[in-house]
Amino acid sequence: MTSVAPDSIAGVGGSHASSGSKQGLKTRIRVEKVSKSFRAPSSAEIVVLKDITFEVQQNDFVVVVGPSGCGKSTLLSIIAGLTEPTAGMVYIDGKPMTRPNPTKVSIMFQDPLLLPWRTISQNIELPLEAMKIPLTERRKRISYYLDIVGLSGYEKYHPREISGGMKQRIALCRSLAMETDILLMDEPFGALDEQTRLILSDELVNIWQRVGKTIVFVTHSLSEAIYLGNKAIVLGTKPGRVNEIIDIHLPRPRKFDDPQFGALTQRLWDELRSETTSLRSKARCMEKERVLDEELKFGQSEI
Amino acid sequence: MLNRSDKHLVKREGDDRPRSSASKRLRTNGLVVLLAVAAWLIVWQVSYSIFDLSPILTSSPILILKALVSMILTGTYHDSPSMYSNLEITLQAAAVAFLLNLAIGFSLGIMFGFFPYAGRAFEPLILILQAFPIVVLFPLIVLVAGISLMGKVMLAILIGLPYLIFNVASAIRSVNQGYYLLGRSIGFSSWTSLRKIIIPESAPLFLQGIRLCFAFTYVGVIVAELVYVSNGLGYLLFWSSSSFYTDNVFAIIFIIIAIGAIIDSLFHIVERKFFNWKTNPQS
Repeated sequence: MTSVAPDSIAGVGGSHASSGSKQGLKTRIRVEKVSKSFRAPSSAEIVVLKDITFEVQQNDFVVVVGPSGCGKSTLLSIIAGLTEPTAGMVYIDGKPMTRPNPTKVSIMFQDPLLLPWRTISQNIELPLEAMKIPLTERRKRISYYLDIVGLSGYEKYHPREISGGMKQRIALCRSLAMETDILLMDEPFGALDEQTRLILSDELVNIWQRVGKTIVFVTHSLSEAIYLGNKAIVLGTKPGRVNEIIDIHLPRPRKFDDPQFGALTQRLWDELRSETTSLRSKARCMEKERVLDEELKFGQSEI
Repeated sequence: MLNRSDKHLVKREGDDRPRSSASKRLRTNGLVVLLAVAAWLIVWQVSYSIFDLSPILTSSPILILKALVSMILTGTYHDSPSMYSNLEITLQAAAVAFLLNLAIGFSLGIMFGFFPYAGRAFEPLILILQAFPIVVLFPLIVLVAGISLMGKVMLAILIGLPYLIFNVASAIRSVNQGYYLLGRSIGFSSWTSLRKIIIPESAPLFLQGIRLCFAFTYVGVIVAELVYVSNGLGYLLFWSSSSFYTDNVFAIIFIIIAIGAIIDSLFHIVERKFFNWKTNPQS
């Protein structure tokens, strides 16, 4: 695991469809013309994603932004192997992703999904049980990663005894303990208050630099996207397609009062404003979400 | 960033001093209840003596106590049939009916939980079973199953089963859908997800269903015994009331309720020990 030097190239990068590896960095994720559509029982086919194509290099921090509810989470779950695309394919390290791969990819959701009957350390242990990791190694990882998220000493606590922000830290800790190179995050800070969100964002960037992960982060917050990512993938809707890929080269730690931060925010907002959903397509989005939930529950790639 | 020294900022269960004030409250509450019951018993006893009430139509706390003591110590009073052997009969029937209920209730409940469409066909049946007193169906069932163990068990099952099926099915359906995603994303097979995540998550609601089911099954057995004068505690009740031993009647009612309460408290102990995380979701 290599640690990454912070982005030091100042200035706003131009938009382009990135192809091949930059600066000799390995391509970890390749999304190739991924499309996803559903046939809802009530109506005709709903196209959620259309021809999504982009690449994620080693140590990238990619943020996926777009209007609320349509497609971003589906895209992430396709990358995670939880959903199968209708067309196109996702390649992780060159291999097609048809089912979840907990050795390579871990995913974090908006809901921390901790098991209330288990202690904190037992919760972190859950994926390690799945991966059949020996007990001594488990102990080591649990204490190491608890320290990284700043919650050493909470091993014996229960989820009901900690706050929302702490729960998300534990969820992050759980994903980190899997020691996958790729971390997927679906609006993990969405349910938290703003201050906790800012604190956790900072910590996430620190962890990313310290441990050297490749992160794909879904959000609908513009400032969060620009604060965190070195590459922003802007999705449109009806149907969801890649509108733009923006490189963000601001030096870290990033400042909200940096004029280029503001310029980027405005640029993102201009992109998204034209995609603002009307009331009718909002309803379509909610129908999509419902159909998606049904499908995600039982999954398509059952072994 | 939160570190070790910030532990004091996080409220831990049992930290501040909730112990003393909570148990103090419990003790004062208990005391009040005890006093109220004692007062009521005194008023009852006094009214009985003063108004010279008939021992056939009513009874008094002292008479009931005599009957109760005799029943518990010797198993009989006024030459009644043995309480203990009848108790055994009732409990046997209740156990059989309860175990059958568990087997049927969980199988159907889990099936309906995961396949709600399968439940649609059975829904009207279950609604009917709950909508009116099953006692009305007793004559039909007795024709088929008789009034001994089989009949009692069938009646008790009819009464208790819908509660279990309903609770089990809705427990499964109410599980947070995210847990399925979590299980798959970390590489659990469907079976392991079920075993490690879904079942423990539903377990407290299962226990609720089991508890309700037992209560109704037990009552069902007693009602069957009472209505069909077969054997068991319900029969003992009938015998006492038709012999006009009203003090016996009260004593037996007390015993019936006490047994039910004891068994229910066992469930409560299990809940307190294992399912604290569900009853106190945010401490």
